[in-house]
Amino acid sequence: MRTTQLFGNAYSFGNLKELFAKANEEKSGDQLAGIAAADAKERMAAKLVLADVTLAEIRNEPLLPADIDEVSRIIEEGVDEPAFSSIASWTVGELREYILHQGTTGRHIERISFGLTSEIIAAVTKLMSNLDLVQAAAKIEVLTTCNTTIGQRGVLASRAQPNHPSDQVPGMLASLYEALSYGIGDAVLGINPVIDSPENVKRLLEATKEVMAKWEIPTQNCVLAHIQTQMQAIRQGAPADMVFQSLAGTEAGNRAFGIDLSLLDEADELIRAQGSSTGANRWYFETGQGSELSSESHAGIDQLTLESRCYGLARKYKPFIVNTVVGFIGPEYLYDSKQVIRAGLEDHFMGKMHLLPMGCDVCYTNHMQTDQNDMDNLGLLLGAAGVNFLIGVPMADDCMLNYQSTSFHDIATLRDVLRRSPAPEFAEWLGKMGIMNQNGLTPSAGDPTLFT
Amino acid sequence: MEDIPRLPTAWRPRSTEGLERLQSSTPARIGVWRAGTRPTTGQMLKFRCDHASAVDAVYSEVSEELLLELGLFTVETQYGNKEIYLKRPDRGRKLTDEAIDTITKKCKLNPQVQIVVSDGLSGSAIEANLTDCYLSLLDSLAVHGLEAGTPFFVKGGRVACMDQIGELLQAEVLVLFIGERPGLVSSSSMSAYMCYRPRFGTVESDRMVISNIHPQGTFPAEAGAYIGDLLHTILQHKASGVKLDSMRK
Amino acid sequence: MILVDNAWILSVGIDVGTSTTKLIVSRLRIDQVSGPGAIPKHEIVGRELLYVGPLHGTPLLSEEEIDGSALSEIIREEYVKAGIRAADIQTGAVIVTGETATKGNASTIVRLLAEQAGDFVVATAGAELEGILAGKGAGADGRSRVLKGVVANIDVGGGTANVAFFRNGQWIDTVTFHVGGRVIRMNERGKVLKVSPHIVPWLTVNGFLITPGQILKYGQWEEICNRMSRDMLRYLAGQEASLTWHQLLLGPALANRYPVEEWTFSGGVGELMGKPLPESLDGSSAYGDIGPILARSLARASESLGLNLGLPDQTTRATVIGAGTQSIELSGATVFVEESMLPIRNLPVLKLDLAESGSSSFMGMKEAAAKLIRQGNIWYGQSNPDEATFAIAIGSVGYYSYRSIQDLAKSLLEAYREEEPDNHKMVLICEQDMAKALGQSIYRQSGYEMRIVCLDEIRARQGDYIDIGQAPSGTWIPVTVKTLAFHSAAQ
Repeated sequence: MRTTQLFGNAYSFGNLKELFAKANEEKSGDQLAGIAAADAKERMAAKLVLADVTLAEIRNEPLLPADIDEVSRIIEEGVDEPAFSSIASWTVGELREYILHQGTTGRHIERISFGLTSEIIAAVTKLMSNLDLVQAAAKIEVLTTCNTTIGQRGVLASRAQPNHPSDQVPGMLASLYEALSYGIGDAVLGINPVIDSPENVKRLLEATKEVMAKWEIPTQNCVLAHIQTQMQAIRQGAPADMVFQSLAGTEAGNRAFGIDLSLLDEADELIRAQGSSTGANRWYFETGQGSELSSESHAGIDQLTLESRCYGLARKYKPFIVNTVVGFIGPEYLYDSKQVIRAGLEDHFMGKMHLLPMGCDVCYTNHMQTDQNDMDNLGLLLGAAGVNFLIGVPMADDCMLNYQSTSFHDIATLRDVLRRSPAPEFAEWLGKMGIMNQNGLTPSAGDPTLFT
Repeated sequence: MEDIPRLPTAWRPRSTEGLERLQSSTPARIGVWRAGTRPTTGQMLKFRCDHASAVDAVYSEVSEELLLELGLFTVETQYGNKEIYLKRPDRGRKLTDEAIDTITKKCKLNPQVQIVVSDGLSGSAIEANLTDCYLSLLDSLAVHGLEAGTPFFVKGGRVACMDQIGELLQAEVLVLFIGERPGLVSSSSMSAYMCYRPRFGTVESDRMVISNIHPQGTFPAEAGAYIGDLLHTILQHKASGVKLDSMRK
Repeated sequence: MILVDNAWILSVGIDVGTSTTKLIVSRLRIDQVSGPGAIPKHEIVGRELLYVGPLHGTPLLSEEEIDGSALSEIIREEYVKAGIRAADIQTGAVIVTGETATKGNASTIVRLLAEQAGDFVVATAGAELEGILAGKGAGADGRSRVLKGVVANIDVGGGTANVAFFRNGQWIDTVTFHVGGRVIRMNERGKVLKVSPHIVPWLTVNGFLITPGQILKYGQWEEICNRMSRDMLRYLAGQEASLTWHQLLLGPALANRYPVEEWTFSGGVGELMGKPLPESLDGSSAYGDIGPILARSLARASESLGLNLGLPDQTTRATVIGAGTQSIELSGATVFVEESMLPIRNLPVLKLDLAESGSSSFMGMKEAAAKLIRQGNIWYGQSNPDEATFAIAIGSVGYYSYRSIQDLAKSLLEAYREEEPDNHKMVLICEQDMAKALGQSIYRQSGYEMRIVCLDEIRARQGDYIDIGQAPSGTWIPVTVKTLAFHSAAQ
């Protein structure tokens, strides 16, 4: 039991789980779960108490014990003990200040990162303002290599997401050509399929590979089917540079996705042996606050902490890219633009604190209290925070998944405004194709018939 | 002397024909060109128009005329208002006491097929597609010799409100027509959820769905006929969803 | 139907041509192509050649007559080599092509073959279908889908050149010419051995007065082939045609002119076009006919006309591969079918003309339907009053309401009751996805008396013939639409 006095009221928090939930910024998902702070004052009381909790306390009071949850086990096993013991006595408030300290560089954060559990990272996130999250994340540079390398300071990469409502290859290619003509696609050419069959996955992988070969595009491909389907396709000889999987922050949540550790291990082995890429990083993970609650596998833990735990799990597999699909889940988890923007910044920061190559699907559905202007804002904030990549969808309107994300135009604009460039090898290719030069897009950029 | 401001010349793709080909292969917004790095004014406004239509669909209501024409009476869930409906899906799964009362009084008990309609996330989806789908379904039920119970409309419903209704009426099979989350392609798309003996605690995998029912997707008249077939199959096998799939394999 | 395994069906193609007979065995993979939440939809997603037989000379009893028993023997041997039994075959086509098809006994032989070739092999003939199948075998349909424009395939065999135009994967027109390698036979010294009577009028008006025994120089042969190629290709390309091109025409001319994006040549002569050929009589006489010289002439004429030539998937075997792999399509998933009426073979198609597009076009169709039924009874007779003697095809109208479907159902039902009160069987082929709604509506309005096969997502034209197979699992129904098969015989 932890207690505090605020504005003449006494506040008490029965356990760390309760304290964690109540210290969160307002999220409709925590309210739906019935674990959110009752009002603004209780939220602040929780933050005050959390600021004085030591990192050792957090580690010693697991929200979900490692003996009953394999995600907890992975997180716990990943802790570097010397790194942890050097900071175990810090409070969460002190950790925040250390991260923000001018003398603390990305290198310093990298060093302590291995001593942090996902819960500790979640805790400090709860104490940080939006601008804190931007500044702190911007310190951390995470480079990863699949066929090409992304994540360099000054680089804003992008996923081309050329989805088609019935997986037709010509239609998919049409969107892909449009993407490439705007300089989009350096992180991955990644398709969400409608039909989850190995044949279909193979067809789409082959089609993207053909384009990569024909135009000598330095990038990587991926089809975001269920992992079992991708594995079948790869075993049938499909050229996959990466495997994709959505992650949850609990073992039960992952079961709802149809996965567990042993399946991930099996896929990991397969993609390392039979993947068509050359680099060390061969995973693409997606996450997003609220998924555990939606599958009723949240174990009473708040959605921010669960999200952090996804990153703890992701870290084990050294992914090439990790993407928080922040606004896809709906208003019962993130109600409005304020909550989505906050969650996007939190997720990006937490991912980077895990030294993950974080990207973000800056997105929303039509029943949320938000619109494209809010996405402009979040895109700019994440760009400033050094996000590794964003999602490129034709005019931000995904005609297959029926939601809105960021457009090819948006990414080109962010690169222009924030002076970011595409990944180096891709930028060189764009130069060769006459799509981009040192001044940005050339007059012929934006014309998909360049590729027909 | 200062330069006179001049508009950039109109865009011409390298291949006009090639662009048409690409555009006709996908509903995605491609070949849209740009103003600097930003979308053109027309494209930007078109996108915003479609979003406006989708947002309004979320708040749209099903008209009294339609309900009257199809002979549907109305009950409500505990959704309260639209904001609560959006934030609290659990409330859209529970009927009000008054609704329970009305349903119990007006509806035939133990129906073979119970038809329920709800606005869900798009009242305009029901407005646009229900009539054709419903009339076609009634013919299909007649052809299969199935008997429908007393149909009604649930305002502020979520998919799982099927369970409480199934429990109340002891329906053998239930079909729920509900407005889908609006997209930019269609703000008026309807789904039909079906379940064998929906009761409290029914698992999601027992439900089955035909979605994307609208004039640009599956036509409602043909969907209605197919749904009748599916209900017949469900009753034959006494199972729906994943259970039914495994029995049919 | 027996399934090879879950989603593969075995298909055979046999092409009995003017000079050669070919057989292939393939398997077609049928797969669900719809995602979750959609009405299940199946398509043929893969075509795999299992066996490609050698070229056999078409056995002839005389110039006019195919040797049926020798042909049976060839096919029997081919089956043994391919390792299949007739009973294993689920679909495919036997097609008698070129000049052989015009011979009097062709249809009898086609029927004989149909029995021997397997349970569901369709028996068919005709230059139009030959052109379409060759075009599909050459891949022109697929190219037109990719290019989103018109692609024409010219299949040049022994006796005829069969041209098919495709747009967006669908065939739109066909035309046939008496242009082929064997229209004139010759030897290595340039001596004329035989001139097909079909080509004589064209030769005459062009002043090529050649008779067997005469010896022509290489340049003279070339001149004939050049003229022949130019006459045909100028017409096809929509350029100012010569005065004599129509002498080459077999059957009707094109209904329209089309902006063709890409041309492919298939057939035996098409095959030669891709090969380096010596410009001499010696080097061109390997086949004892004008084929090699014609091939070069076609290539040259194409170039001078600026035709954009594409590479065909198949050349010599385009027709037989088309017949074996492309002759069936699958009905839409939502259909209304009285299973006891299946299979249906060789049913002629009448097309119901819809005045306008949109839902209202289904209203008040009774008179039009009645007229169509009367016409059908005149053309196709009525041997058994309680049999469907023809199918009615219904085109596409865009969006329709259920009430308009009920109207259409009422019109059709009333028309049938008036014109054929004793007939309780109806076969309907809808272009648009509406078969289940329409079928159930007719069935209900008929007081559950009418027995109906109503399919959709099949495009059929007036004068086509259709075969409708049985659904192996109730999820898809194989259909073959045959263009003008036995047309003259039936009328």
